[in-house]
Amino acid sequence: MEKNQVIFAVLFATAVLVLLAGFLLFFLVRYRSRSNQYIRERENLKKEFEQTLLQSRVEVQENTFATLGQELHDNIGQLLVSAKALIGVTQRNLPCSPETLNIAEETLGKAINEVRSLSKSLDKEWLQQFDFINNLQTEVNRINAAKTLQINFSHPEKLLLQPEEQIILFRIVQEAIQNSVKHSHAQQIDISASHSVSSLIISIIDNGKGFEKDLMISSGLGLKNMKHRTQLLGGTIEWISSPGNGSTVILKLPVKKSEQ
Amino acid sequence: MKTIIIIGFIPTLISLLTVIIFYKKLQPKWLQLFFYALVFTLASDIVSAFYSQYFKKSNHFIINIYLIVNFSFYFLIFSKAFETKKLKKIIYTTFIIYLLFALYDIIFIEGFYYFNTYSYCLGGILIVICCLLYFMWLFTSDRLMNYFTLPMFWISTGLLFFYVGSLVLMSLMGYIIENHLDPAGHIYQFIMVTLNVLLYGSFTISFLCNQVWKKTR
Repeated sequence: MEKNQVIFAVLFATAVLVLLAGFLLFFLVRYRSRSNQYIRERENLKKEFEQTLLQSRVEVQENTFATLGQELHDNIGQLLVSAKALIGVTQRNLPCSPETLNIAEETLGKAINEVRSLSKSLDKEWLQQFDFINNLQTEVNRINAAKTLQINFSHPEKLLLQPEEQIILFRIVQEAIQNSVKHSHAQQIDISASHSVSSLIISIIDNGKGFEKDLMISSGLGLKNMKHRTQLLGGTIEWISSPGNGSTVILKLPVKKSEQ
Repeated sequence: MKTIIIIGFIPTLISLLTVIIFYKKLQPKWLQLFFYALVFTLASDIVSAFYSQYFKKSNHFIINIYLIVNFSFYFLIFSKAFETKKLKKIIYTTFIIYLLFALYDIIFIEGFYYFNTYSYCLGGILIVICCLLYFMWLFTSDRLMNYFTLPMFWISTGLLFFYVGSLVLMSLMGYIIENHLDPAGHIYQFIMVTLNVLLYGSFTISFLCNQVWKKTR
């Protein structure tokens, strides 16, 4: 009897302990699934917040650009026009206009054109009238006219993006071009836009001095802005560069079926 | 009796076959260490069963050697699984405590040729503590995770069930043997085979979980 009691006690205690371990695991798994739901909701809220914040930043930047464009046109543009007009009057009043005055008048003319062109590219309403391709072609022509470098732009007939998306895309490409012009000492920039099955691919390739990719992406504010704007469009951006080997920027943006 | 012994090998064999088939695809890579552990386990089981059957002598010394290696292996696995230095330090400390006590038990307390219940119980308790530490880490983590895709979850589950279940039997093993309460070993075999199915079944699932759950997600 005692033997049977001991055996029964061993079996019973073993079963109870195993069951307790089972219950512990059951509650652990159940708690985790609720915890996972909470974490998912928190992640979604965080993404929504970041998206809204990004959108607001872009809108603020656009408004700032528009105001800047207006100020350039109304204030600086008018001052330059007045200065050119005064030089014109002086030239007509002098029996023999000195060469330096003629050069000054010509330089002022160029400055006025540059300011008008820059003002137009910052003006949002103007951008909404024309699409990405026209706007970028204008920007390319402006830079080519300065003859400091050559930009080639190849594109399809039309971009399958909404006007608001084209504005954001224009800003990204404009930033990329400005980076190449200011920092890379490139002689040539090739810009290409093309559609694949469900996406738009834009590449900006320059033959400049290149840069240390990892260092610049982590510290460059302009590159961070480009990345944020691309994320707003739901796309990806990639930089391929190394010192001495030029640089390439590749943008891939999804194109919605309704726009195709 | 022989049938039960043979049945007891089946979960270990299935687990070994699984680790061989999925050896190259096992993630994380330290799961590949289970191949060596399972081969050693199977070899120890076969050798101890043959020794007992054909030499009619106590095979406890084989089991004592096996247990030291086996517990050391589980401590190694936990040290690989934990990501923080603090938890790794706890594992190393528990391993050293176990090893020192096991050697002390063999040399000074129960001897080499008698089943070392004290060091088994200490090892079992320490493994249960490691399992609970791991579950606590899972419980308090703020990362999104699906337990069923974590190999270490299944390994810890199997170890928890096995050592919690076997502790009562093993702690009373000396008493049971001295008083001939289970002369044929039926109770021992019944409990251990059942717990083996849980343990090696969990190991098998841990080897599969990356493959199966990836496809079902």
